[in-house]
Amino acid sequence: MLGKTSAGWLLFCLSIIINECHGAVSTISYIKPNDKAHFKNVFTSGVESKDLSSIHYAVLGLKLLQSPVPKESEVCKLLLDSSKNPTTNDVYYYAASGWKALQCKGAIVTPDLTKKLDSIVSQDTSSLADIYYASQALSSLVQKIQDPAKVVKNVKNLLKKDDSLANLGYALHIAALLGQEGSFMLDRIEDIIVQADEVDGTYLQFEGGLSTTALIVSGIYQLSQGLNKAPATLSGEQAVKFANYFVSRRSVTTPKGAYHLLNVAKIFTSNKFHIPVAITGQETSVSLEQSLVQVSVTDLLGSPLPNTFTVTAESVVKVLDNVVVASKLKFSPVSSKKGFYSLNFMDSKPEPGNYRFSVSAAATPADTKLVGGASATLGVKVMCWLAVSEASVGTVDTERTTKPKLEPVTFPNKLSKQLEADSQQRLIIQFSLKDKQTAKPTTVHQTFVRISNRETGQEVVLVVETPTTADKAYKFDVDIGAKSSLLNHQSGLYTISLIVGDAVVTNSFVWEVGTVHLKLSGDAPAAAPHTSKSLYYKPKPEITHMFREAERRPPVFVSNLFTGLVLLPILLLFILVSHFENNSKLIVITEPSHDRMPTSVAYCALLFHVCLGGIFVLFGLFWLQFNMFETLKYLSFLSVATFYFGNSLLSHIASSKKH
Amino acid sequence: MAGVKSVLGKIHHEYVSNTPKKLKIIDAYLFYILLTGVFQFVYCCLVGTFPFNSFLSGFISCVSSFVLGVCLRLQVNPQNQKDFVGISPERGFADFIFAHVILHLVVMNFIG
Amino acid sequence: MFCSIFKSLADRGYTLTFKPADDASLILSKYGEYLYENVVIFAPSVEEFGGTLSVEAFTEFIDGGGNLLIAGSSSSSDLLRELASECGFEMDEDSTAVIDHLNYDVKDNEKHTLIVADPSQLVDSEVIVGKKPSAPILYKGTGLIVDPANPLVLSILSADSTAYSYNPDKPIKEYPHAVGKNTVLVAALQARNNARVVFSGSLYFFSNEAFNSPVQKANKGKLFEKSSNEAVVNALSAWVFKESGVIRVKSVSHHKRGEVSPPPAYTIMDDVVYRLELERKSGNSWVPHSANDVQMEFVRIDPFVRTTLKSTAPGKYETVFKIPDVYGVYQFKVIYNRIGYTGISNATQVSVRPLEHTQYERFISSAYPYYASAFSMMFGVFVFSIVFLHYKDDEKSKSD
Repeated sequence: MLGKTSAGWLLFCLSIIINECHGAVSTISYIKPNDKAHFKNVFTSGVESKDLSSIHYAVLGLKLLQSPVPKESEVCKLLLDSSKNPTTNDVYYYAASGWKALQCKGAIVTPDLTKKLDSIVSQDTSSLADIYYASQALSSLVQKIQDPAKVVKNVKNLLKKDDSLANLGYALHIAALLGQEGSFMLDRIEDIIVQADEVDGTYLQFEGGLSTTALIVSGIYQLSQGLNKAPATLSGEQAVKFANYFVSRRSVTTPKGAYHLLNVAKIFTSNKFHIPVAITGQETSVSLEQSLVQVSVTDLLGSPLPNTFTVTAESVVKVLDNVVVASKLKFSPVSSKKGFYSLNFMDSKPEPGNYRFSVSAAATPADTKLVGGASATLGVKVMCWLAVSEASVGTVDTERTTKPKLEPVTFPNKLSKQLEADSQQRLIIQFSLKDKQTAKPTTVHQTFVRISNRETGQEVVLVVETPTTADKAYKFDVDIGAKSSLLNHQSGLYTISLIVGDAVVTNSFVWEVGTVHLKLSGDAPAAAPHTSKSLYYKPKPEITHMFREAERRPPVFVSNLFTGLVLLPILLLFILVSHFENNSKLIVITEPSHDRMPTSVAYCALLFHVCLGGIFVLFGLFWLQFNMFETLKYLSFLSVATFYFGNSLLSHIASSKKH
Repeated sequence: MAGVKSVLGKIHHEYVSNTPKKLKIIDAYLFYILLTGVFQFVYCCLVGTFPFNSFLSGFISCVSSFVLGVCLRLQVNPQNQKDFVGISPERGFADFIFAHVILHLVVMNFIG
Repeated sequence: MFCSIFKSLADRGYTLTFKPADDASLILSKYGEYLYENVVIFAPSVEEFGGTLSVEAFTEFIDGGGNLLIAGSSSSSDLLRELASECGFEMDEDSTAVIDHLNYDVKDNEKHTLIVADPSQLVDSEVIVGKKPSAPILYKGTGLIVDPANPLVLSILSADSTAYSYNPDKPIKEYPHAVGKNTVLVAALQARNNARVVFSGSLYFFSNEAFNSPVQKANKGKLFEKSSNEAVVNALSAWVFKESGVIRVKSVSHHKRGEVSPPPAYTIMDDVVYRLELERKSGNSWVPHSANDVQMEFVRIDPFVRTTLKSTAPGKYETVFKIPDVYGVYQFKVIYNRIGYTGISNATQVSVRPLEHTQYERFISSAYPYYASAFSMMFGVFVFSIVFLHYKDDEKSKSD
């Protein structure tokens, strides 16, 4: 219809998530075991694909994860075959680097191949990407670049023409392979870093996404590592922000992206300049049963670091009122788990609630390589166990003329008998919540009362207001008449339940307090079919038309009887006529004496009667089959004849009378 | 009672002796029409007027025939001759037949 | 973060265009024609749409038949709130989340906002959400409410009766925006022009992370290896972009019983055969659609007849009925609205005339006396005319 593909076009409007800013940046997290499992899945399906690039990255990725590669020999063969007839230059890189990773048997390197790769790196018609692929291939094949100076000149010229971020990334990697000749790129690192985009003060990324950023960052570190010169303009904080960006992209699903992520993460755990330290909460819920807050101090891939750390909670703030409850609490190392540190928070006797820890991990002796461990924020919950006491349920008149009758009930039992209430009454529930250990009354976030109809399942949930009194006793009071519209005015048996919950309560519960029989007044409003939701989607009732009743008819016998009756007078007519006339007709025709008509007149008379009879027969036929037009047509003939004969007959009679 | 009886008897005797035959024939004809109409009407009262058009045409046929017959009797009665100057009884009969043709055409159309 | 859902859309043949929500080059229509059939808005905190886009532009887009898939989150902007209310959903305020202290995932150690929704909380419609999955669904975001009286708005996924939508860091001082089963997590609108809008209060619901996570309710819930988010989102995206649940009328025919083509006008009390064919979109082709509750109404101003059509073959429906004895201009109306399917509203106008004067019943047995009387009168005239003209005068015979 719009001339588009039948599947359609989709426009995506995306946005970037806004997070809070921190003071000094800390590493947000590390690559966890389930992330590694996810990467393994991505790589395993990558090896099965038909795309050489995906296979290559998948193989390298599996090797990084120290996982076996399925069908190694087939992959080796595939790499060897593809290196013989490459369509593009990146094929060399994939074949060679994959071959090296798999340690395939046999030789992939041929003098021709080496010569070809060398020519690519030296030609000034090659692009930076081509030079990158070719140089990487040469390095994998353990071949030297014949003329490094020429390569450097090439790269410099190409960068002059186009210094996009991708090209800079390739240039960094090429320089890293050139040894001392590659030092020209060191000066450019500053320019490259400046082009990074900071997001929310926590992440640093380059335009172009995960692969480009990983290429550049890994290139910087490889070059610096190779030349043993720290990347002066890349600060520790920036390194942490880059690391945070990579960790945030851990749900990537392509083999290329996953490999780049893992590769750069590995670099961040083993380079000479910046090692981001991840302080992660491992056990952040404490209660009287489990009073230890546990944190882990690891590198980006989750392995413990060789240094010894002093881990301190610089400040502990209660979230609800922003009050500092403790500071400078020391964590002690956990002997059984390397890299884990714990602190018994319950010693500070905290009240149940959410707390914000600011944790720092300082290495002893100090190590300048370690970054990102200055102030990690940790959310810690102090849980409590709730007990319900002094609970009672009852009803009272709306006007409160009588005292409320309240039945006590103990948690978790139900009321012993069923309550009765109607629209003129109020339902009252009273209870108080206590922290089981300290026996102090406490309030929680969610205290709702649910009244649900036992048959229809219709329910209404009402809020019990948080008490402001010192004894923190909850009082629930609802006018049943006011809420009957929410229950659709349906009278019947209802279950009363108390829903109590809070993020810091270990035993949030739904307590079925009892049953009440409600008598609600008022009528449920009728639903209009074309707007009411319940009837809109259902078939409507069937309608059959009531036809008008046919008139009652008499039985055929009665009609026939009366038909005979109606025809009876004809008989009577004949009798009467014959009484008056004795064979008059015969006399008229047969008597030979006077009063006899002339023959012509006699014929007129006969024909007149015949025509008259004919007219009546015509009418009979009109009733049976003719329509009006036909009848009129015949009638016109017959009436002319009848008129003529009648006229002559009557004029004869008239003239004979004169005599 | 006896008075009514003697009056009726006298009327009957007068009728039989003084009425011309012509008129007696017409009277017999009229009596026949009357009976037919009465029987139809009784039937209609008994079973209802369905189908109404048939009832109307049948009944009107009787009533109109009766009326035409009465008209003919009037015109043909020799005692009324001075009321119909210039119109002979034969002319009356011709009108009678003409009217009947039209009547029966209409009745047949309407009877359904 | 969302490449799973984008990849599955690309695999189904869509051409995807990605733009930031405040990009100045955003444009939906050019020279009166829409450039896109569907729009996905994964921008919960956008303050203002870029280019020519605005809430009015989106409303017009829906009126023009376009479909929308929108995701919000706990930190949604007022712009998104406005867009939601245009579509019939009320979103909760900023910084609120759906909290359920009894149905949260074990991974959530903080505020119990990562909700585990049971598959029974999904709308009961296979067309919209696919077959009921076995694993639960993860959700993390804000709550919606939906007007219960609006028949065009559906609740696709609602929360359990212990859930509520409120700011988790603030104590409850007033009635929460949504409580219990009224808390809608994913809502949908099918407009009267069959444009579809799906609104989810959670962007996380569509993310790779939600698709691949295992699910386990805290406090000794059963562990499921993978959530059903991916299955439900794929089915839901197929529904909202009108791949599934699209039905239309293929053909309508009507005629008198015994004939083949419709007459210029029907007569009252005729027997009419009405046939309807429905088809449903399946991939790129249309297949016959079977249902057992398609109804046809014969309406003048109010329906005189309403019958359920019988299915004679897959996708073919038929009914035979007698036209009422009231004449007028009628319509054969088929109005079919079922949850998950596009609405069908089809009307065919016919005239129904009263009986012609030759179509009435004749020779009725109860009229025999009247027929007899009419003929008797004619016979009487005939006999009378003979007797009257040829009678013999008494006087004359006396004189003999």
